[in-house]
Amino acid sequence: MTIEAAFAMSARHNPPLLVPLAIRGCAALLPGITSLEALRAAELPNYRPTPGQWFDPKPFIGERGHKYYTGAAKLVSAAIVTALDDARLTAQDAAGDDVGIAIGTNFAAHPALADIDASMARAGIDGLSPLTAPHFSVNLSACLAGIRTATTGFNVTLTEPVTAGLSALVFARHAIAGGFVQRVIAGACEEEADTPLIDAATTPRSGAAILVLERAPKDGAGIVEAFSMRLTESSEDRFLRRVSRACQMLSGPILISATALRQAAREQVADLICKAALTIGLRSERLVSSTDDCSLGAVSPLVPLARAFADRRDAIIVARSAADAVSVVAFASKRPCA
Amino acid sequence: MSEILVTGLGVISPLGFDPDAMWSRLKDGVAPAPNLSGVSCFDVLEKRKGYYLSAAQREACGASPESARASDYAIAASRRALADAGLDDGREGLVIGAVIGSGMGDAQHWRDSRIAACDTQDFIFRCAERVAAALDLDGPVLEVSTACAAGAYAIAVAAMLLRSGEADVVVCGGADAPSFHALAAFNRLGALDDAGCRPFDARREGTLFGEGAAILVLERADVFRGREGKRAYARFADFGMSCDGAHPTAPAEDGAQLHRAMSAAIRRSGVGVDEIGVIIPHATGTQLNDSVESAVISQIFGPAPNQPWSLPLKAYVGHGGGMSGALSALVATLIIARDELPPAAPCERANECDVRLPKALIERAAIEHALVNASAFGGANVSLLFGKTGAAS
Repeated sequence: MTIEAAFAMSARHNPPLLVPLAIRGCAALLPGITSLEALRAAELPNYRPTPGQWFDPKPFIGERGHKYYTGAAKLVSAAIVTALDDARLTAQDAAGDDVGIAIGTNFAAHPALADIDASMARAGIDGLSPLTAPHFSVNLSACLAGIRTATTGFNVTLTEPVTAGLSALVFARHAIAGGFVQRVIAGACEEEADTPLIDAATTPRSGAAILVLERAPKDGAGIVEAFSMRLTESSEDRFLRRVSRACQMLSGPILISATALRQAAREQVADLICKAALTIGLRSERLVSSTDDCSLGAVSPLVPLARAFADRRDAIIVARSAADAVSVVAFASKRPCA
Repeated sequence: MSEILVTGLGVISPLGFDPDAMWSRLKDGVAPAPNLSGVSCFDVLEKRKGYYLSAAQREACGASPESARASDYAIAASRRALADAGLDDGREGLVIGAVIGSGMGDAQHWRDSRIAACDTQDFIFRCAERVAAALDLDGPVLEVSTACAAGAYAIAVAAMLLRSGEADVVVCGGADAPSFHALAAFNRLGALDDAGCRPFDARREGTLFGEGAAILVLERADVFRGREGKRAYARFADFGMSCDGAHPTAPAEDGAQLHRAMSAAIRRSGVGVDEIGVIIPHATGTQLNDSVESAVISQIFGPAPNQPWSLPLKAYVGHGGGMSGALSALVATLIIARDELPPAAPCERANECDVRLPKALIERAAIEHALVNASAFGGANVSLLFGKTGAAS
């Protein structure tokens, strides 16, 4: 199918394609991984972030100005600097009304909330520092990063379990297509927490992944599809149609990554994507963990996406929550029909 | 492009559990006295007042009487909104999404679990996915957590999804429940006023929390036309968004980015400033928010006598966090649909707050367009513009 033909497909439940988003730059800061080169060497999908202090913000954002940041704010600020550098952009290029920030997170506020509890228990009502009290608000990590860069287009935090990082890309796509901004710094950040997640043999770990996104030409490479839906028995056909259409803009063998709390859930959704790819004769390679892979929360599905970008490989990345909300992103490293 | 209509409303608030009950209380113009939350694990903060639901009210809408979850409120209000839109059944073939905003999500439930020494923890933000699962929706599922602007942002995101064809209908809005952490932080920041939430008042000393959910059903007009016997409340015209990028908690004193969000909503809607009949401001009752917001209103619309009416809702329901912007949107659509403007709660308007407050109920208000503002920690701003169905844009 040509790009024009793909664009022409606009059935009611197969909405018109939005313009693709070029990935201008990318950064992943994870335990043991602080560069795209290190990410390329990582063993996905078996990479597991280790607990404990691993991140020093100073090489990224200097020694001053972040003493009272949350851990997630330091990480996302550092990841933004690194992604801008990868894009050969400066901090100035992140400033102003034409740039927005969209960040997904699940656990960014958990440590701050636990700290508030501990402070109050230790020293009573006055034990809370006015400098750290605002950290109860989950959007503050992204906002502190946005204050550093003077980004004023918008600053939005999304929080659905597991899917929020990819949903930030969905939001970015609509914001650019709607003419609200020219560029979006999008991704996810998480902060380590002390208690395992319910129904999952995993404990939240810290990390951040950031993409610098801009409008691409209609037939350009980059994120060619990004959508959210709930995957149920009755919506499975619609899911397959959307994924099949996305596959038509990719070159094989495509990487398929599925992130979910339960193995059966990620296997099922990966099977569906393989099926969609197969229907158009596209070879695929599954990158699906056999153990729990949600310890990085909203960052988790962005790790294989960043890897696909670094490897210049086409990919379909999906994240699925326990309630079957899914967010899907299709990445084309080049466009076969261009 | 098909226009977007508001076709269903659902509300869980201290003023009532349905739009009719709430409207009746608003028309009376009497701000309720702040009360105690009854949340026992609020510890040393349990005597801080707010505009809270009673334990019986919480139970009535499916939430725990002692420690409600925002997601319970969101489900209850969404169910009511879908029924109001005539979509409680017979929605085969429609792609219906859920976009819910919440500042704190189910943080109190999360805290309760920690206190109970549970050896696992849940995700805090599950409003959107719980709504989608409870109501069997299979469209887009997104949760927006831009603090106190979350509910209004959720409506903006819903509009994006409808315009791009990603959904036919979206259940959207905001929900928040009493949260120890938010209360502790506001208490420490000296941002609470036990006397009540008094927006634009010379005596204002801070805000007070509220709780509940406000949900709108937004759908494309071409979808709605297929459903007979139902009327739309209003038309969603457009929105603008911005971020101060200046301070973690305080609004930028120049109000430039709030101005930009409001101006963008007006410009993108194709509506003239003189066509806007009412503004539902963010108006938290804090010193800086109210003075900055009123200054921006004056910059855009001129001095108070030339301005649209301003109806500061938080005097009636407190600051419902992520719910508040959605509740403002819900009231804006009711003003347009019912052709009535409730009075602002009585106040001694501060000199620096040059806004036009309705002192009594205005019947036959003939308001064609309503502008809704929401702002938040981190400097997030969003403005939504609603219009009468069939009004030119």
